[in-house]
Amino acid sequence: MMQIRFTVNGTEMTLQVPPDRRLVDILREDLGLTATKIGCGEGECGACTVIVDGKTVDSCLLPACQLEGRSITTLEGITPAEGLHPIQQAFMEQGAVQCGFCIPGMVLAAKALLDQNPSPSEGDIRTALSGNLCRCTGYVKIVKAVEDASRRYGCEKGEVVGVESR
Amino acid sequence: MSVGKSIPRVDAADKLTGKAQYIDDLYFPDQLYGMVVRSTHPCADIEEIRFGGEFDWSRVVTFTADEIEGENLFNIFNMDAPFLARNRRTNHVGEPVLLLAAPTRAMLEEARKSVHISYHPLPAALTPEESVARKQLIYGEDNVQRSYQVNKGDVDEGFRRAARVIEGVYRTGYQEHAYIETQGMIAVPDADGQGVTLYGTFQCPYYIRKETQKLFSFPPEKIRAVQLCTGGAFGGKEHYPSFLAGYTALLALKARKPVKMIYEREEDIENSTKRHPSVIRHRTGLDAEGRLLAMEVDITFDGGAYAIASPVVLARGTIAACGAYNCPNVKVRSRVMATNKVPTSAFRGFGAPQAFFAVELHMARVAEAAGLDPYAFRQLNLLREGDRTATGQLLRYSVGSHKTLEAVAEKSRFLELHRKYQAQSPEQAVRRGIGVCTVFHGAGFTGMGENVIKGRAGLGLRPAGRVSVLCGTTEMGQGMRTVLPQIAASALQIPLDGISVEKSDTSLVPDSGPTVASRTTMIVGKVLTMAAADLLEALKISVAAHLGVSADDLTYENGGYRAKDGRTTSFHEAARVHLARGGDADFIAQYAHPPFINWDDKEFEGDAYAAFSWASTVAEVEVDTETCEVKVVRLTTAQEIGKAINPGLCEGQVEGGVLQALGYALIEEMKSREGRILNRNLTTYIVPTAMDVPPMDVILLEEEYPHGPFGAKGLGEMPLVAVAPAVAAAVEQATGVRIQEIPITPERLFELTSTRGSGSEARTSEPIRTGVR
Repeated sequence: MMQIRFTVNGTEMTLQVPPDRRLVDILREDLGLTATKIGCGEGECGACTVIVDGKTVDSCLLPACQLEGRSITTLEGITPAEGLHPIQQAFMEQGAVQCGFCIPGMVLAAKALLDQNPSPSEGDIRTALSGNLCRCTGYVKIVKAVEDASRRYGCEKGEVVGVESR
Repeated sequence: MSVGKSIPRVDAADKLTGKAQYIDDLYFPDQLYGMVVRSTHPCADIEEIRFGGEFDWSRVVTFTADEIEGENLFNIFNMDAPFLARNRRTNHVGEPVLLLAAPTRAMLEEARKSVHISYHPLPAALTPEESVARKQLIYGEDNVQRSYQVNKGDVDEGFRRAARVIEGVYRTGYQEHAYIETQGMIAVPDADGQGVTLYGTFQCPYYIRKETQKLFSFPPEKIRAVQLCTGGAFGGKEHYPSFLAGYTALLALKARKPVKMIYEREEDIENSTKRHPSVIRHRTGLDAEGRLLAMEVDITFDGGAYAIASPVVLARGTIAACGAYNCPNVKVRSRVMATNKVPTSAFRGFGAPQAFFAVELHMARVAEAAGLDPYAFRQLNLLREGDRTATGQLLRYSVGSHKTLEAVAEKSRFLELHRKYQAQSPEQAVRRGIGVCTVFHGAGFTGMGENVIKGRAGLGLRPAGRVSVLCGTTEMGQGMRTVLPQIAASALQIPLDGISVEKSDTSLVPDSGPTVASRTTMIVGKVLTMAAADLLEALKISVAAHLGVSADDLTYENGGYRAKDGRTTSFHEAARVHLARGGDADFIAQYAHPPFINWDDKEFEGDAYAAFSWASTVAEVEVDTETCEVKVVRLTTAQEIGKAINPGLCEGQVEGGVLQALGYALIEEMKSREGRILNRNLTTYIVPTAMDVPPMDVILLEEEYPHGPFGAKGLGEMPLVAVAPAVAAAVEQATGVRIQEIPITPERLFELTSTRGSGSEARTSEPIRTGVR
């Protein structure tokens, strides 16, 4: 066991965990943050994507021993108490959600992209999402959603837009 | 009216915020984790199972086949599949031998290492050819899991009269569903041990009950299935989850504790069911004008060790064998062979992707032999309203075949580009090609299946004027939870936000039949409109009594009842009145085919489906002849579906299905050695990413189906059926080689282009006669 201190969604915490415990299991099982999904366990599908110190990371590949001092953002961390984040709103309106299992990873990949590059080209978007597999949508409306989000993001970075949807 | 509008889906917010609950997000106190211990041989007898003394077995639960109280039988069609290897015989790598459950995953792994199973290997039939030769007898007397024949007219006469006869052989391989959420199940035993509840990711709650029922000593009604939010399915969660239901239930009932089993990706890819590989031979006779005179098709599917849904997959493939064409003389022979490999079963398209790949690519050759371009050939030969299909079905209505062809040809500039690419210089290293295909897809079960299922669904009046949709079909991403309320709301003329869908729990909803066969909108939606009519009629009677008028004096319009004397009663008020008077809350209706639908299963002829949807696709490709990489530069598809209840959701289905089909055509390849799948993870079984999407034009067309809800037919599978042959034909034009197999990987294309003769198979400058418009 080792002690690690890190920040999740803005909250600093200290945990005692085996050094090889995967971040995705810490999030899902130890912290009850189940929005982050497991799709392959080997960093191929991106369903477990989280943002670590501003960059997207497959949390199934990140062991506890590498978490000291890091700042981690999950989908729960960008979801407002009421309503939707502009990126979530864009996904909703563009019809980019089908089964939803890739969505937490996709939304965070989109956020990491837009935080770095508020006006990405279509090619930039596809590259940024290339590590997130989706089997339902063909990615068409997901890419449109990120384009739409980049237009909203420019004006309302970090603010909530839109009313809560059912 | 919300039908026809692209309403945002009702479950998007929960999925976007992480609130949606998938099976691995659910935990029960004191749950155990379950695991399957599997055979490592393609065919073997189990000599001994030994639980090694190095492990303390009192800490875990073990379960072996002899402990099954009922019958060790997966309750489906051929009744040939056990849950655990039966009579000490294992028939494929990965066949379950015994089950383990433990409080932690780590302990489970430790336990598994201490299970020692010794096998006596036996000869294995690893291909359909070896199966035909009976290298191993796996099923029945001859390894044929099912076979069919279609006979129309007189093919021998047709071939005699033919001006040209063209032959070809086509092959397709496995395809893996690769749903992003793997298989998962939690079984919670009833306190008295005489029942169980299964929570999981699956398409068909009532199949969970039906397919596991033989295992137990208690009646089927004591098996409750609750579907949670499901992360993709595509047919892979149609029957296969019932195996997990069996494993977890057996363990849970023995342990008297909940048991959770979530497949790791590699276990899922290796052991869950796959799309049937196929070998399809075509022989086609044409008259001098290029009209089809005779089609002879021979189909062999690889069924794997157990049939599961193979009989119906083969049926659909057989019906699709001759394509969307009008041909007076037809002979089809089809069979699915048992092999010592992972069982093959349902996957979006269900036999049609294989059949249409073969027939549509074959027609590229046939058209060329006739001196017609692919568009002119289809104009001449595609089915129209009033024609009869290969099974003799009269196409009475709703035939969008030609409309879809014209739409894609125009949008993609097909003729212009086809001519242009035909004239490309042979020296060009990067070459383009364009191909087209037209397909149909019948929604609902084949033949009289829907009349056997008698799917039931309905509407329930709930407090505060709310209405609940009661159906046993499930949301798996396709949008059912949005589309069925749209149909109900429009039928009842009430706002959409007054309608919700009851949870997919067998204790709460009727058996509407499974969520398969592109049937949910067309069949279950139709039943909801029937229930809506019954509901409105019952409310009318209650309102009439309440107002003291005759029911005939009331008309229902604009969401309310209007009496002859002008008094109006809103739907909301009518529901309140009805319930206050003790009226029924739930209105359940039952499906039956239109009465003229008639299918002879023995002769395999007649009306295969109540309605067909139609689609055409044009694929334009660019091939780098040095690297042999194929890039799809444009894809245009038109899907004629009767009525697009929610156009946005329809587009989503098309876009997703098209990309799965591009994977099937170009990059998804499953290799195996000695019966073991080699590419068992997503690194080696590659599926399309966001960078693999071509510019795509999606056209939705509507030719009303008179017996569908607001004219709607089925859509879900067709997008995956209508792509691969267009891509293959385009690659043929670009490279001049004959494609006979998919996926067209760079390796395969390299082999084809490097082994051909010095331009002998390359396209000559033979003039193509364009057809009459």
